[in-house]
Amino acid sequence: MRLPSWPLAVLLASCDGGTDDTAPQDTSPQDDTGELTSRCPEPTPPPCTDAMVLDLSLHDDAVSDGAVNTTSEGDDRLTVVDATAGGFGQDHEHPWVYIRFDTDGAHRVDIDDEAALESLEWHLALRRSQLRLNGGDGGPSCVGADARTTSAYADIATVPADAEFQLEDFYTDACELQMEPYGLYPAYVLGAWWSYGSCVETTLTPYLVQLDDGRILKLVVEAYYATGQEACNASGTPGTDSGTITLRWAFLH
Amino acid sequence: MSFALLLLLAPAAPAVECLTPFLLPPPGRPTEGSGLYAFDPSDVVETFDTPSGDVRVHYSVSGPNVARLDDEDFDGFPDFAETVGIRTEQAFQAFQAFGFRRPLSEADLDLGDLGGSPAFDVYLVDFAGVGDGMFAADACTREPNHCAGYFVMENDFEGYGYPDLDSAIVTLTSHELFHAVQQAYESESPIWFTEGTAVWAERLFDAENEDFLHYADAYLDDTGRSLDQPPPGPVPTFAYATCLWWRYLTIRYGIGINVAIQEGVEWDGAPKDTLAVLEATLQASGGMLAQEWATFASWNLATRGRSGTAESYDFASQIGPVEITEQGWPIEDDNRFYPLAASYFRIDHPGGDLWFAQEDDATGVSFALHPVAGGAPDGPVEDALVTWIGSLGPTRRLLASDLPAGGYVLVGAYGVIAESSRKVHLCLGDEDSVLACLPGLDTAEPDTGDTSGDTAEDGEDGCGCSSRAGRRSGGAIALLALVLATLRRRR
Repeated sequence: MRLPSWPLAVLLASCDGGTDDTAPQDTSPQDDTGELTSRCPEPTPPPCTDAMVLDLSLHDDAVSDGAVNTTSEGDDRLTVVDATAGGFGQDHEHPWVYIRFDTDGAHRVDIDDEAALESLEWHLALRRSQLRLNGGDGGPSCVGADARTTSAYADIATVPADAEFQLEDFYTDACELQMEPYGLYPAYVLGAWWSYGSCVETTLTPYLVQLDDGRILKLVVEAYYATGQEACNASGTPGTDSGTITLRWAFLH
Repeated sequence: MSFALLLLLAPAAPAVECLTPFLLPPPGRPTEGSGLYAFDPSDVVETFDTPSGDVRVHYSVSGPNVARLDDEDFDGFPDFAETVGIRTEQAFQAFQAFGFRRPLSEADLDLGDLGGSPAFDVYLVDFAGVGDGMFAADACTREPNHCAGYFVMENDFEGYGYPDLDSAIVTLTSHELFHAVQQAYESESPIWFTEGTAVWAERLFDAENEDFLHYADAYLDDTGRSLDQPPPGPVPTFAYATCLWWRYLTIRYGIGINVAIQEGVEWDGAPKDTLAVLEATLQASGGMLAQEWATFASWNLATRGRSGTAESYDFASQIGPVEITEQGWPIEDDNRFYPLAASYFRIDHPGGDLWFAQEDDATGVSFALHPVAGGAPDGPVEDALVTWIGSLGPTRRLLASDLPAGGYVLVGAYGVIAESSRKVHLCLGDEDSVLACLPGLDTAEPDTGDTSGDTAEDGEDGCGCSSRAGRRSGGAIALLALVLATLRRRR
């Protein structure tokens, strides 16, 4: 494997100037007027963009038109993202879908993949089963997440005191791609949302996600299929329209 | 095919290769009823031995994995199993005749008669549409890293897209058997090499092989990707698609170079870097990686609707076309030229002088400008009109004066082993547009590279270009002349 050399200072830089891949668990910062301000107002280029363009098949000539629709269910938002990206085996030829979490729902950010490497506008990128946060190795912002593997989504009402938000860290200092245990995809912070039997099952692992402005939301991937996720989880029967991701999420106060 | 290939959920296991999906080997032969692709206990399994005794085919005559059982020659064996055995045996013989090693046998590793005989075993099992073949290792040696094994293939090809049954059999047997051949050299080579050369072997065995053309065509959809960097994922088509490069080498240097590369990657006291072996083997054969990659990139341009005039493959009209990165008039683009990759830019030239400018370091990037035949906007391309090597710093150059109107395609090929891409801001157009594109070049240091051989007119900065038109220049890069001379000798 080729080992691009990158300046250590760049590699270690995080949005807040920290030197590790854990984002600070601060509360939402506010300016003098009480408006939320960003913890990372200036973009920090991901340290391995050159490798990333190939490894993640990033495009500079296309913007995803995958639909992003949000509905409400009690206090939760349900966001369905068309991250099908041309279907199985075609995803590397298609751009990622970029979304931003706002109080009125999640919205698609219309931006091409390479421009996204310089943008703070988006929080989460999706393409089929890959979910990538905008922070660390994943993007220029400081969005991080904490997997709450021993909790259920519904049971999370406040931000736990022990929450530690991890930035994307799927490259080594030498820009070698680090894969998840199955060896299929980069080791994304949100990578534990799925498992595989004979279809893509959702583990329903809940995550706390800290946005660039410090707000924290809870999130769980409920479905990878447009229909049939329950049958997949129960009996291994694949659903329809794989790559149609359903996210359940809510801001925590 | 489904996401099923996540099946790679794999703990450490013997090396396995497969034609399409990459699956774990079952813990034992398929007749032991375990693993993803195995016979069911209710299957009634029989065998067919080829006349030489080199190959044994295991097939089910009853049960969920029942094979095609037609027996039109009434010899007591299903024709399908017989054909699989005969084709596998022919592939054995063909690969050896071309100079490759014979796959390791069970006896070589003291494994006993696995499968009930010393023969190489082939199992016909239902893949249910999720792939169609898999080589699996029984056991391996370490240092050198050699493995002996068997392969499993689809039991009836019902619902598969092969043009006919024999095409399916020929494709699978040659592909999977070549994985067995690879394991006699090195079992830990990267997937872009193992799968690419296994598809290459399909065409070696069958000159009309359509599976090879399918993957060669897929390569041309992603020429901007480094040869050794298939995207992550369960079925990296690009890894198989590298077959086109291996075929190109065969055309240029003969099959011997492919044999030499397999020999070169074998562990000999230290792990081998496949790219380094490729480069060294080319040099030992009298070639240079950079120049061959540039020629490969131009051959790839002259495919499908752009084929027929410039030199390319004899199957050029059946693959492609390459994906164009940018097109129009004039062109301004930021492009990453990745190592062992190529990008293409098509212009609609209104006629007149043609200028090129680069803002960033493009050292090592080989450029070639191909005219479209007959002044058409697109269509069959001619051999390169001008070629040059990118320079270190900002450069502006006149590529050719008073060109006729029509389509032209610029090829940029970075044929080196490098750690990262060359990200280059480039412009192609008339003098005014190039000046507007990179105005800072007015004060740029001139490119003072030596000139040798036929060149186009000087660039404004004193750079030079090799030109088919034979105009004299004062600034071509000496390497280029060497490149062209070598290419001519080999054509």
